Amino acid sequence: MTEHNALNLDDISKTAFCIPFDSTGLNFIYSSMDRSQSLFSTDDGIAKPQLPSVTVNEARDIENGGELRFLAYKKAWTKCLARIQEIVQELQAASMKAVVQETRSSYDNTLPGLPYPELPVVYVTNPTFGSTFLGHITSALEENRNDAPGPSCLVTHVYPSDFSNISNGMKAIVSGFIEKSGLLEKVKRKTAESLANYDIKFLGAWYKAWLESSDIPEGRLPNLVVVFHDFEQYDPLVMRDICHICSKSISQLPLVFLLSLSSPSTNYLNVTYPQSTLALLRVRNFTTPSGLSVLQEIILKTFFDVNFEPDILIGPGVLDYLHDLFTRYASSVDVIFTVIQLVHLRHFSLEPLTVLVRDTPSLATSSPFTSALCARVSLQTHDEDVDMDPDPVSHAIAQLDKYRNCFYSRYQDLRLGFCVMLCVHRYLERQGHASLKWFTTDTRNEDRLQRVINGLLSGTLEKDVETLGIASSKLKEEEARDLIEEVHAFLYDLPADISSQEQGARAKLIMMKNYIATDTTSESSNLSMTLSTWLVDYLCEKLSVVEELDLWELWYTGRTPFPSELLNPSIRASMVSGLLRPYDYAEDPSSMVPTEPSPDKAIWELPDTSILFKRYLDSGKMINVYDWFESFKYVLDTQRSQTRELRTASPKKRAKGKAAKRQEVQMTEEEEEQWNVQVQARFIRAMHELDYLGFIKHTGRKADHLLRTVFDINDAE
Amino acid sequence: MPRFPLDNPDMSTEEEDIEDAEDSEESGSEDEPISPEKGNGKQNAEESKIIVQTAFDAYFTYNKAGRVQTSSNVYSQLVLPLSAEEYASAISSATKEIPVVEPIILQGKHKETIFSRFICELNEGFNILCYGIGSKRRVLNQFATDVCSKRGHVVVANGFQPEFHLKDMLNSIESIQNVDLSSTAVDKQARRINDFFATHKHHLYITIHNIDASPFRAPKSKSILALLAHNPRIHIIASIDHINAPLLWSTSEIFSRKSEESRGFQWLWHDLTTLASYDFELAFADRSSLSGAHTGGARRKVDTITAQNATAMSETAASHILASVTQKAQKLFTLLGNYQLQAIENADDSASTDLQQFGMAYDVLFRNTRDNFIATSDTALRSLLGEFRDHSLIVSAQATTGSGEVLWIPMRKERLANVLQSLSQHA
Repeated sequence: MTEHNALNLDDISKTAFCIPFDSTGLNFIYSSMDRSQSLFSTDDGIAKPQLPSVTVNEARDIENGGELRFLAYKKAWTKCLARIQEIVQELQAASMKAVVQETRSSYDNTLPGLPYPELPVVYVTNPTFGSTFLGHITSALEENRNDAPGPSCLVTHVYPSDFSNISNGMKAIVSGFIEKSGLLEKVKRKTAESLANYDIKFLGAWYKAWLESSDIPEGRLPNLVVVFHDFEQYDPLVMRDICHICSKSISQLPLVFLLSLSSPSTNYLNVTYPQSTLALLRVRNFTTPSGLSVLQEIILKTFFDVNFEPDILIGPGVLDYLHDLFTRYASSVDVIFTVIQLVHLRHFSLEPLTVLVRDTPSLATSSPFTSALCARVSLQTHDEDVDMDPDPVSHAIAQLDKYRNCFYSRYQDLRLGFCVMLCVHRYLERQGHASLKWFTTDTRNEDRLQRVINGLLSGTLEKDVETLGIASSKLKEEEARDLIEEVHAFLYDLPADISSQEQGARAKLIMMKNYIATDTTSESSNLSMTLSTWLVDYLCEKLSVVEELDLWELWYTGRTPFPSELLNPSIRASMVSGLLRPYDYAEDPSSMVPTEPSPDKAIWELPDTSILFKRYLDSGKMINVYDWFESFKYVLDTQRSQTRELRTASPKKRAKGKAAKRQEVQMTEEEEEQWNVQVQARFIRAMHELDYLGFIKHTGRKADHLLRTVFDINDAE
Repeated sequence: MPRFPLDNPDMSTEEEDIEDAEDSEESGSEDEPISPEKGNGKQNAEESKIIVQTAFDAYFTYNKAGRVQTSSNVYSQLVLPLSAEEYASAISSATKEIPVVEPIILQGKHKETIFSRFICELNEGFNILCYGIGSKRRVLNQFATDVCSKRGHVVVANGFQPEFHLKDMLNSIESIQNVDLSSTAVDKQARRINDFFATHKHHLYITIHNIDASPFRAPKSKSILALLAHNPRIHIIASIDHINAPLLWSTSEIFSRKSEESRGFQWLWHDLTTLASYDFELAFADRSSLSGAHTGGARRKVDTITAQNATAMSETAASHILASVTQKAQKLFTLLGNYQLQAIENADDSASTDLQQFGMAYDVLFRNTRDNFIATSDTALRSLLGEFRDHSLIVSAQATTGSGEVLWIPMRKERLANVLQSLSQHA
């Protein structure tokens, strides 16, 4: 391979180019950006990872801020990711255990006396967790069991694209096991003497050889598990034959099929496969948790749980988007991971101050960053404070630490209040009292919890607090006592630091409890009233809005919407506007000066492809190429005369009209000919570009006619 | 009635003639294309300001049942196709006059920001897909050479090239590892690459220009790409140009995150409108054919063959070949050419571009050549035809009606006449 600076990527005779990494030859070309990066490169010559540079606020970014913010981002995201993964594992633990148990014991008690052996099939409806669930199952199945040496199962994964026909499918299964590393040493096969690589007998021979070589006891044969990803995508005709082939050799090979389906239907097999195939299978159904409850569980336990404190709090703008994306487009955990990661990434890349989210790095006394920070802090504090302090930087840092503590303690109160609310709510619901209906399964109320969270973040939960208060005031004596007991237990079980902070609340609860215990003669309504009043006061105190705090935007994304075009772009709209209004793309959106909206460009001022596309939008569903060409030529003629006019007019404006006309006349026949050729070439080029972009469909219905594929409106006019 | 703003004598319906009369007043302001609503009087114009037409309305307006009314002009009859040289010189002289618009995102600081964003997202486990009008090749190449190459191995694949094969890309990747290519099957190769980079010290950045091109559309290619894309140490940045390219992947493929057992892309979409021309991507397009740039899997091959049949052979190329063959062979060409010219003239439907129907059956040709003492035996005729066939000056196919072979010259009528004329002059 040639050196990279000699590599010509414009070489039309090659279809693929390779630039091998060369840590020694790094210094070949440096643009301005690279020079700054090379300062911070690691030992092996690779630039350290950093967040994208902030264009708008670059002037007030800390030196080497990209990297520091990257570290802050990484810390925040890793923490959050670990938490979500933990929740996901918890959610799928029950069904995973069941699936693993079933797969392991598939051959433990087969029914005697069947006319033919049945192939065990574990059918998992898994719409939300996708391949993470299967990955966890694989590792659980393959790990050694305590009571026996060797793995309990061997697992191979197959994908729909491997099963284009029977021999490919069989090959995928057979080679999936045989090529598993570390099991059995590879033997060089002679193609003439050995079995074909798609033959199930080949797998049988390998299995026998492997058993002999390992010290697995006779009675504990490891099952061979084949995991089928996205089972709906397999061709049923192919799968029928494969089931048939595999069921024939069960006596030698303990095969188990694990089918993963993403549609929430439990009878896909019955609908798609004939009885003759189903008769060969012994199907066991399993379902993993799915739907909105998974999203709610993850959101509640990640951002609104007392036991976990994420570095940044995600606001209603993003949560609404996530809810929408999850319910409408793709209800998989991958979406949740992606959205939350992107929010973290974006939060830390937009604002230079986010470098201070968790801790304050040592700051140079005079830099744009510190002065921006001081200015920002002095905005929040009262004037006299600033005047008194001789060192504005240390003052700013002290203030900042104060704000940070303030935010996190407010956030903790918010989570605590919400959890107490949940605790009371759950108790009331359990007792069958009319309550808040937060978790109802009613389809109309599907986004109820989403609204509750929004209300919590924007401080509009008074009504819910009131409802809880009223409901608890109507409790009977024993119920009130139970509830007090429950809330107390909840506060007592909190992590030590939070629990000690809530000493007052706990004392109050104990007092109430004792009061009830000693004074049984008094009216019970009075006691539940006390509880109710305390509850309302307590919740009102805890549930306050974080947006009121100073510098809240460092730790809270607020109402900032999610950049949805990253995940769900409108490509068609972008392409059409690129063609119709190309000049809009040349304007700087970040320029602070509000520019006048530029006057609409005339059609002749546009690039060729845009001209042709405008004419395309004016036509009917079929386009006659010749007419299209003529209309294009007409515009180009205008373009030509206009540009000539401009050129001649600028030095002497007076003779404008006449001069242009004279020019028209002066065009010789040869020029005319050249011009026509040029117009034709430009037409063909523009048309080919539109064709390349997919705007044209060719048809043989009429000579030299094309079909439109896009019927958008030219709304620029 | 939707139509072009130019007056058109061939438009035949009465209604349109009236419109034409109305439009002729307006056509002075050529800046304004005439939209479907216009031309129906002032009242309608006012109404159209209140009722805004949407894309849905347009769809139903244009897809009404009934005949489509367009003129009967046929482009390929009225305009002689340009030869490659004519096209190239015309475009090079035109580039000075065409207005150039450079998007802000490609300028200085903005570009650096975008690049730093790309590389950060790639390293954070996403793959990137760029869309928008304009060739993204130059920008992505610059990203690959300036940014990615400092962080790991880089492989650039030009998916838009018609002869591109996925294997080219995989071979390029394997040239990094310096291992002998023991297996030639693509899926094994992909698995080997995947295993190699699972533990390799450096990352691999793959830049794919036009991942929506036909070589990547096959299910097999998609599954191989999905395998590579899910590897935590392999990063893909790709461009798409076709308006329906997002239909290539299912939502689960689009969102599937990088992990052990998954296959998917985890795409992040970026609008990278460059407004640059697609000259490099379309360098292979046949500029003399209307469908020369059409990209459609199986269809494309058929299209290119017919396009070649119609116009691919230029006059200069034909005269070069003819100058280098024997006199007998020249005579054979003249014989076949004259027959074909006559057949075209006799035909009623001269709009058809399919030249095969004007060809001569092999046995008829053999009889004719024997009568004219050009070739006396079958072997002699075949050896004469050999040279022409090698250079595709004469092509053959199985006859669609009846049996046997049909031979014809893949040249348009005017060109063939010119070639025959010059040949007779030389003789």
